[in-house]
Amino acid sequence: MKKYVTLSLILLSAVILPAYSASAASQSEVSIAEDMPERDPMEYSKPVPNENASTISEPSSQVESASPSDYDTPMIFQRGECGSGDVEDIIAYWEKNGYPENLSFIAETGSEMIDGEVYTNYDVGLVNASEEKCEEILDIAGSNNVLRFTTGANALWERELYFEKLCYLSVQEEDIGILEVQFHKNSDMITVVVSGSEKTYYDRFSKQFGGVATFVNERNVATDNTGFVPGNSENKIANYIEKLSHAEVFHADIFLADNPGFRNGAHDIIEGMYPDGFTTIGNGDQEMGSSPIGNITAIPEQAVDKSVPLWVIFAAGAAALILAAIAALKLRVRFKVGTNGTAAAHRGAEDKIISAIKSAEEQPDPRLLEKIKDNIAK
Amino acid sequence: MNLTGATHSTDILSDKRLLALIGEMRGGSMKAFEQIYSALSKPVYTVALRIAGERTLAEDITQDVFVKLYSSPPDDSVKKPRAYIFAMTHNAAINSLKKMLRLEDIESAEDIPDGYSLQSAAESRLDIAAALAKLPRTEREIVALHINGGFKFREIAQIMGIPAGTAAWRWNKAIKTLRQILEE
Repeated sequence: MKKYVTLSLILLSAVILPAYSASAASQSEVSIAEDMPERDPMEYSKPVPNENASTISEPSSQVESASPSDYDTPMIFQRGECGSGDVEDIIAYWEKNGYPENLSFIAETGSEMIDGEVYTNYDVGLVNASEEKCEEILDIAGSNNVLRFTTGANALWERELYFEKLCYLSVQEEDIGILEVQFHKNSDMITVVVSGSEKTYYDRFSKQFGGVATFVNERNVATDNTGFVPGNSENKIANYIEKLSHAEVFHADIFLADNPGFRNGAHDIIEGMYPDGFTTIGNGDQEMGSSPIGNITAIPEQAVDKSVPLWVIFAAGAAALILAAIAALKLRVRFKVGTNGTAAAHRGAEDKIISAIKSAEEQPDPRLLEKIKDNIAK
Repeated sequence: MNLTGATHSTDILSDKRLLALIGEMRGGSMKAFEQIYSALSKPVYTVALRIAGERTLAEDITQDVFVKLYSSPPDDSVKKPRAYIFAMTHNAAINSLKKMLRLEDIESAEDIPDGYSLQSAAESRLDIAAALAKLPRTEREIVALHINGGFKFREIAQIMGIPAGTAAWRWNKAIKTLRQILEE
């Protein structure tokens, strides 16, 4: 059994990994963590790569969070038209009713007086923008709302999931050096304020957060101490983050100060959540899958140049899979729910809960069907 | 953690099959209606019960849904009849709750208070039902739609009128809470 595992691992590491690194380096897109929501490929268009702007900024004099104009995304439907609906403040409307699924950001860019009327200007970033989508928004917005449509790198609801993930990251690992995570509704990027070199974070996190987060050294950004609500006594990060829904800024050090036992005691609660934060149920429902969200424009220099013929990759991969399957059959791995907090143990516990919920499906009174038929007959 | 292993039917009627049965039902076939009822009464009732929290009310909601389904079946423009039926269930349950709690002025289902307890949990010997009772109503509904209804988060978002990311986030929160409760 051991020899099958060893052989399959050797095949994988010797052939597949260097070949993958080479092929990944040659592409301009980087795929991100598999546990993020799967996007319908027809629904979202990939953002246009911009070779002149990097999502990981070099030390700069940046003092405020990125605005849409910093990313030089192509403008589409530069309407400059007024809305045709009756909503006075479109941002307040969406705050109350929920943001559209294809909305990336909305930024109020100023107001102006024309012929005695005050007009408020907005930049509206959409994913997979179309004239129809723009019309839908114009139908809601008021006649004094002037909307200019553009593309966004990611959807707002997706960014919320990444924001949560970054918050967990900032407190889960000691000395990671993430000081603040800033979520912006007026920009398609999350700002992550760090204490170390921005390049270090790029090198480490580009695959997971490329195209959705900007890492900025604390010297180059004004840290935000307003709109922040400390956690409550329940000492659970999920509740804490829920309370941040309007605060939008997560301070790792303040959270840890308010929750001193977090890393030691509550760590196992988080382990099942990160990095497998969005788990699937059973075998058939692969709800969350990998999907590229953004583009990394700067390519790591340490990428391997040599290429491997495709047929070699496939042959080695097939052989490795067969050996791994034989090893798995012989190994018969069983996961137990334990107290050591491993991701596998938590997934096993979750599967049991889901199975129990399925089994606890409720049944109506057996006479209900007859009552329904009587009602229909009346 | 005490999780009983009662059997559960995993036969979820596909949209394609359901469309065919609805077509027959439109033609007056009571047999087709009975097949639809047989396949969907349990998950519909479960979702209604998770929202309403009370068996009699949940049965009334289920009855309303199926009576309306027979008397006014969805037309050919509805391509996802399962989601349609569960959206009917969600709306009927929310309206019943609003009527019962005299909250007719409330515009959003999110504003209905969560203090409504699940009476069946007190009677039930299953720990999981008692644990579910401790979840907020919206999380109970998402759990029921996802597990009992078999819907994906995008579909749940459409049924409940919330963003897909919110549905996924609440599901995650619900499962974490259930795990904590059951491991106590």
